[in-house]
Amino acid sequence: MIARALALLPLLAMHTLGAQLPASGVPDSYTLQSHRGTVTDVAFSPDGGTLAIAGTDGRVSLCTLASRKCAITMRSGEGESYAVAFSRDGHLVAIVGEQAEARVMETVTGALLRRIPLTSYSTAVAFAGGDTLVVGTQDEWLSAFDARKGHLIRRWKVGAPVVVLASAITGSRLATGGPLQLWSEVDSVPMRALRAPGGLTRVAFSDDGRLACSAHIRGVTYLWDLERGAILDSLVSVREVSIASARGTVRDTVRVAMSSMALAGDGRLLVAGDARGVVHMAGTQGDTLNIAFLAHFGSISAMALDRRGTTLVTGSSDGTVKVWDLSFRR
Amino acid sequence: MCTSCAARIDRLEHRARRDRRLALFALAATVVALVAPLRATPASAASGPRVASTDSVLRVRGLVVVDGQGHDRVFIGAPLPDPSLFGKRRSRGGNYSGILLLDANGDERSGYATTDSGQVMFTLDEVGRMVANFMAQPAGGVRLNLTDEFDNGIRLGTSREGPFLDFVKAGKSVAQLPGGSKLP
Repeated sequence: MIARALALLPLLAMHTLGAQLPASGVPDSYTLQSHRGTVTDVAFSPDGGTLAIAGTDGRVSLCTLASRKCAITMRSGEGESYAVAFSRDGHLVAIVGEQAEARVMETVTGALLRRIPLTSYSTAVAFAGGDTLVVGTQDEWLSAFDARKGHLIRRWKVGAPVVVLASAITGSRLATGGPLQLWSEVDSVPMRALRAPGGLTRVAFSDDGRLACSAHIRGVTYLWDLERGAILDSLVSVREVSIASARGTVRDTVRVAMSSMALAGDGRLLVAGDARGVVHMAGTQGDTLNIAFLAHFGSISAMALDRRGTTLVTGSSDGTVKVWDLSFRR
Repeated sequence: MCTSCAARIDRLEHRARRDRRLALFALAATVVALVAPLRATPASAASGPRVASTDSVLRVRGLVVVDGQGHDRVFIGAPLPDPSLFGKRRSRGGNYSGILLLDANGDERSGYATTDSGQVMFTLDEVGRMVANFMAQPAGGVRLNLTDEFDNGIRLGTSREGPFLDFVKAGKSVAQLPGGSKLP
């Protein structure tokens, strides 16, 4: 642990420097919750007041940000919980995990509303329009269910295990990865396969569905213009290494896996977390914000921004969930 | 000091020494009384039925070794679970049985396994990606693949067509031995 802390000293220094200079944009934070194991997903309710948190310890918590309290704790079933999502009206929350089923709960009470059987375990869940629940499974199916009644609306093969999934609030679009693909939510037709590298760890949309963002194991996060299928911006995470050779030691940089990512609703803030626990923040479309700081002593495995982009939540393999105040952006 | 006082002190010290000896003897006797039956147990049990012994065989489908923080670090299983990366499981694309090593973050870093199709392999991984793979086919060939994050690598091995060696730079083959051969 000491060696790890020493290796991270430059980053700690950057963090401290930022804390002393608020103008640099390093945000204030507090620890909301601790899990035994990795935090696998975090999601904001549409009003930004409630947070759902899932972890490999199987716990799923609903926390109120105003009170900083986590009053309701649920489970995705036996085993690990992998992903959570709120319905568009915020009344329902869906959970998937190691068991081949999706659980739909009422947000206010935490009461179990439906247990929907799946064809395999799932790490990807999202709500589309109305109460339509979309679940991606490891056996390459993307399935749409009526979340309240629990019945299947339609399902289709996507050609690869679905590891991550996002739904655009407007524009009726879904994005899946494995390979990054866009789908029409209305007729399940593939809209576009984006030429992104493999190893997708997260995908997200802007509120208007015109921008998407993808984070990759090979240390890069892309911001996509979906109309043109082109990359608008990117964030890269690197670290310095020393390579010993017969001609002496050479300094080089290697990329660090981007393990999580979030995009502000207006698409003007891109935030990515890497495998070292560093948060990278970049403004887009003319916003010049560009900072990085150490957030966790473990990979950042979960991340969410509220729709206004003023509150960031990060979850990590170190088991903690932290809330960061980004109100300095306004 | 008076002579009678000195004699009295001598007597008291003598009694104190005697009391200490008695106390030590009593303590030793108690310990022997408690330990003796325990030491006698194996001998007396030898004639009875054996409940457990060191030659017992444990038959399980999986075994997980956890570290001091409770994180899974070693997994032995048939089959092995799908790999977990940044907290989410991903399909392994087949049934593998063997041993997995995980790092402190829970990411898979090495494996020694057989597949249901008959291959046996030893792998070393960076986080999220295999960088070394030493694999033997069920019949007819063995190969070693080494890659780095820039898609540079070396592939070498043997097959029915003979030995081969391939140098890869940025994902493209730049030199082969034997020259112009089609790698198996």
